[in-house]
Amino acid sequence: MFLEVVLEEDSRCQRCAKLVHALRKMCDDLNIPFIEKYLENRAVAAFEEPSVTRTFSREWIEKWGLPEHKKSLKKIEKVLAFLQERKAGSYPCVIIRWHDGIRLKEIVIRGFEPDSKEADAYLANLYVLLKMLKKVVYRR
Amino acid sequence: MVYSVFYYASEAITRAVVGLALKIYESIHRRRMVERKEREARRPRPWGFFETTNPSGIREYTWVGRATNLTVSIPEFIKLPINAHKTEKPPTRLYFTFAEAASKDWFKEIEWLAEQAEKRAGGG
Repeated sequence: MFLEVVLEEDSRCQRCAKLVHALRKMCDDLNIPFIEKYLENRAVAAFEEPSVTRTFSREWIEKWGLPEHKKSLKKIEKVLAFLQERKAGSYPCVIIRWHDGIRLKEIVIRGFEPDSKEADAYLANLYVLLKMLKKVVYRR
Repeated sequence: MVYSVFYYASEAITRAVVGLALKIYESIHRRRMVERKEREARRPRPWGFFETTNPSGIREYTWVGRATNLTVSIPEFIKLPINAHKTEKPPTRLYFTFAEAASKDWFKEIEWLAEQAEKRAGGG
């Protein structure tokens, strides 16, 4: 059983730099492993892409998307094709991953706006979620 | 005699009127009784042996205790004569955007998405 937080980021991304401090502090406080994963120009493997890139595709939406996504699929099909062609990523991307003894579960959250009003609410939500997951995973 | 009849009649009417006024006043200012909500009966926790896959991808048998939270995992290096519950559900991954994660209803959304994922994994 484990619980970890992975931040997929790009070295050129300023939003990521701001989120790193907040996330690291949170994880240190809760004693949860925190991993920074650089992609794009500093990726360990050249082909490594962010975990949300595949969601911007027709195939993904057809297989896993919600009914609302499928309804608007025709409208955004060209945009999706363009994003796939460019291999567009979205940074930062927070991955909360845990194994509860039976199977692996992940929550992926893309994007962060440090100067927006919602930034505090976002960090507070993350903190509550991590605290709750820690209790669930380690049963303490 | 006549005097006493009037006296008692007027007293009875006054008592009735004052009593009614007091009852109305009480009923207005009475606190509402809070009724206890019936709790939903908890579903019994599944227990016994489960066929699981650990984070390294190795199949194993996991014992989950009935009365306690005891969990014991036995890697499946050899074929073991264990009748384990099969957990065929695949790993779950839920995606959210920043705006969704910052909203108040995020936790409800997680629950709802997890339910959808469970249904889909169950073949529904």
